[in-house]
Amino acid sequence: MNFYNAVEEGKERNGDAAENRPDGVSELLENDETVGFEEGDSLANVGYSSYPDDRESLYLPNTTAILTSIIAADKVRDQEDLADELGFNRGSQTLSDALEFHNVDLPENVDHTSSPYVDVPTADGDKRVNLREFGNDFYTAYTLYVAAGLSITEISQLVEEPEQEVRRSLAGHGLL
Amino acid sequence: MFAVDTLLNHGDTIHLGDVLSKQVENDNRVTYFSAICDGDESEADRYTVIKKQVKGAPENVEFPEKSVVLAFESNKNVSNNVSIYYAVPESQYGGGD
Repeated sequence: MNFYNAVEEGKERNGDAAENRPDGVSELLENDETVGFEEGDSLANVGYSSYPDDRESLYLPNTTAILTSIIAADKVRDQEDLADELGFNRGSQTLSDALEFHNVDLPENVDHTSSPYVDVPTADGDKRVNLREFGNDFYTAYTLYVAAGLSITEISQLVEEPEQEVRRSLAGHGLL
Repeated sequence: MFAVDTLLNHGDTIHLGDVLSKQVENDNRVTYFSAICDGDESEADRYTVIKKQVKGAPENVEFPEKSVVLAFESNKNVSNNVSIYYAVPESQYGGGD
């Protein structure tokens, strides 16, 4: 499908998702890893029910792997994030002691702002876009809405902007 | 043979062999553990001491594999509230699942 036909197809669906979308779009949307106990998917190698929840369980042998796997997640930047994910107080001395006990190191020199860049699956391979530029950048809007076939609702969740704002931006780019 | 004579503190390391005899004393929420172990202390396994709080009257209390129960202390002021000290071999801490 050439560029003009693709844009026309996008206009015709008027903000709905495309029927046929590239492989990988579902994975892009299903990434629900959020820092916080029982918020989204677990960041560890186990489910929330297996997280250490007291002083005893923080020192058990299998806790080494759980702590390591949480810290390995991109979204965990420091001990406060780790505490949030485990459901402990951010200043927990018990958690600090347990990290020392398990000899688990926290990330260093991490960027505390989440990356705005994502790789979006399209028929021509993955295209990297800057989600923060959605409202201003035609390429980002085209890639998400036309090339990947996302709906306005899906784009809204991805760029964290209200649906009416997404619709306004798409219209402004001539894609609706 | 070698003797073990130590306070039990959560997270501490102790050396243990086959325990031939042991004695536990509780004094003002401090637990002393004394034991006579078979073997040579320099070759004894290192263990991590862990304190488990048991409240109520559970039908089953679980411990990690290869752990050794060392002592327990009861709170005289609160019924059905027991602390159990047990030791887990450091060899169990491998970072695996």
